[in-house]
Amino acid sequence: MSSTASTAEEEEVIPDSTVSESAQSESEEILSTQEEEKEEDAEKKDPPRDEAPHGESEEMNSLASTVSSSQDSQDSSDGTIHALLPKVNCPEKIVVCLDMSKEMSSRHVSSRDGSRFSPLSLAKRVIEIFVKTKSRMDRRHQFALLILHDAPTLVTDFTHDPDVFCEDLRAQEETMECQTTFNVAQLLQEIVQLAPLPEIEEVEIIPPPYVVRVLLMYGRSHCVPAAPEDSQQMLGELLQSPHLFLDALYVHEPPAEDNHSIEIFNAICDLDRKCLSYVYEVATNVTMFHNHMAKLLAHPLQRPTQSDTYYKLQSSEDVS
Amino acid sequence: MSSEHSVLKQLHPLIRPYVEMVLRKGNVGVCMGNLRISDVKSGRPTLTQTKEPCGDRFKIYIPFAGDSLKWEVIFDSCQPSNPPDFIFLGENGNFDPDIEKLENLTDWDPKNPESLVLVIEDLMREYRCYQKQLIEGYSRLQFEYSSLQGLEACDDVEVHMGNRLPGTLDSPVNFLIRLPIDLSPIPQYLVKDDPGEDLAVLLAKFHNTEGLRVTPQLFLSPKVEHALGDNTALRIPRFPTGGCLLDYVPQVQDFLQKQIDYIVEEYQRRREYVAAFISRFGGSVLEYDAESFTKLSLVLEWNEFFFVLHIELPSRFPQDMPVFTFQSCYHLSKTNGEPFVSVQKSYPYSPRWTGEEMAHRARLFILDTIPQFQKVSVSSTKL
Repeated sequence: MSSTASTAEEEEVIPDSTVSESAQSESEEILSTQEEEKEEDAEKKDPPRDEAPHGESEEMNSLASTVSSSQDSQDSSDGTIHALLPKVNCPEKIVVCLDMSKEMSSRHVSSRDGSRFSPLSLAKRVIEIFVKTKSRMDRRHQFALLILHDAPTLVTDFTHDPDVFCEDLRAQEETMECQTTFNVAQLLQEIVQLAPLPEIEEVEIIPPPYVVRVLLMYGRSHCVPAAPEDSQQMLGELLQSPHLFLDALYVHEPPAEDNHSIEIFNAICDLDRKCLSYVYEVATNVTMFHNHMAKLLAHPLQRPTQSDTYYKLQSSEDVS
Repeated sequence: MSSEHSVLKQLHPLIRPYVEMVLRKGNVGVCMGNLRISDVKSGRPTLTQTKEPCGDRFKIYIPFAGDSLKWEVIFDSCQPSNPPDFIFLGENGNFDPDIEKLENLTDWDPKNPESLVLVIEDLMREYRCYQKQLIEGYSRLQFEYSSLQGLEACDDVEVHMGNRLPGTLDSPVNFLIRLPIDLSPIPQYLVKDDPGEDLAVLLAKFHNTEGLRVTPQLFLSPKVEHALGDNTALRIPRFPTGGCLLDYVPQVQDFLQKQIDYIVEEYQRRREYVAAFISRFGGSVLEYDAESFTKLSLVLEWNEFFFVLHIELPSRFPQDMPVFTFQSCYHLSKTNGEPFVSVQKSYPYSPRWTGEEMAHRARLFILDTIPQFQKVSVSSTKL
């Protein structure tokens, strides 16, 4: 088993300050962006809204009563309608699952200014920003850190203190070669032991004392997350629980013949049984990596579904 | 309550149930403060063999009109089914109720544990009458008292004449007035942690029977105090010199009502503001305070530059404008390791705008500000 330390870097990320049509884009980045776009179009997308904010009365209603209206119920992948919980900003128990497989440190991506990062160093950076921002929004949120080798290992138990969490996070350097299977069922089972789910009878009406959110930072391009036959049912039940949310940021090699990036992305999307998850993927675009992590700040009970997300601030010339 | 518990323990077991009921249900009158029982003693000449508690007399302190009535209640543990005697201590010494009017005493039912409660209620009724008679001799006080009867702003009134002031023919008189108060419009989060009643009482101390000097004080139950803000009781209008309760009590009532209206309105304005932002920026919501609507966070994109916007509503919104904090999603500040932020406390704003107008203007302000924010967040976090 070999391990590599992630490369140390001090360079800052410079987000694009020009529009995408700029002729200065590196060809490598254009290629990967196009690949990413293909993947994204095929699966999850962030379609821009083509009209002024709609559904205003819906928003007002749900705000007024804090009980979701039946119009907000979502069709899930198996056709059943999942009731939504009240849109309250209850505390979140966020379990950050950081992949520490060798792939996380064995390849490098470049940002616009030429700085090079491994997926691991990028992940650590964006997770730190995430945790500190989340904590600023609400001091009641708690964070736990699990690292993923062949099996999940708890590094930090739930803490309100972002500094404690980030110190443990920064110390994660050793990546390892992992087996060719990754057991998702085992991961979730360990998580619900770490964070038992609230038991509420009338889930649509009674705000929970907290929700559990799994933030999966997965970095393998050859190992498809799966669950053994005998755990499928248990996995299915967990993924349907009203107070458990699974979000993912998948960082991978650009899709090619010799890897399973697309298959893995599909497998991760399949875990979204309630259609309430946020799943993002990125290959080499450092800026995009940060952007996706920012979107993942959203509270699972108050955020729009991923297909309803819309972030663009139109410029002043457009009709407001 | 441990003091109550120790009192009950000292009492003879056959007398204990009456006292327990009094402690539980003895809410008599306007009731500002708690009824208290102490000084349990026994009137027995000898101790019993079994050494069981044999306390059969005690003092009871009943809050009334801002004062405390001190009575002694005397049972006989050798004959526990006999009704008790009462001694009215201190300044109540002249209280001499007509026993014919105390039905629950003359028809004492030893089997009913509430018997003592009922007798005390009878006595309180008579005591109130006695106080009313006392002030009848003083035209000013009589006027004040009768003017409060049937006044909408007055739910109930107790009057209590204290001891004569030395060297004068004057006595201070307390009027304790219960004000109607309805907290139901107050948003839940302000009252949900406070069980208990909604109570507001006005204590008007007349320093003499002429009513030339009156000191008002407002007392609020904890629930009301928390809901309206802890300073509320301190800010009641002054009692006007030469004024009277007939005019003053409605003023205080009005003042309270305004506080409630104010709280409700502020909450609604905040809610409207947050709703308007969610409506306009619904696709970008990160999280918002769904209980008191004091904060909201969004993630927005301008020319492929993503950033987080935290909005905090101050306690005096809408007079005071919300604070906008722009936060970078790419950079940590070199000085404190926290995400780079830029706080904006001043921007085009008017408290008269609707929530929607505020959201619209906010968007324009953000568009104006973001190019500079982007530059600064990038350059100031470089090595």
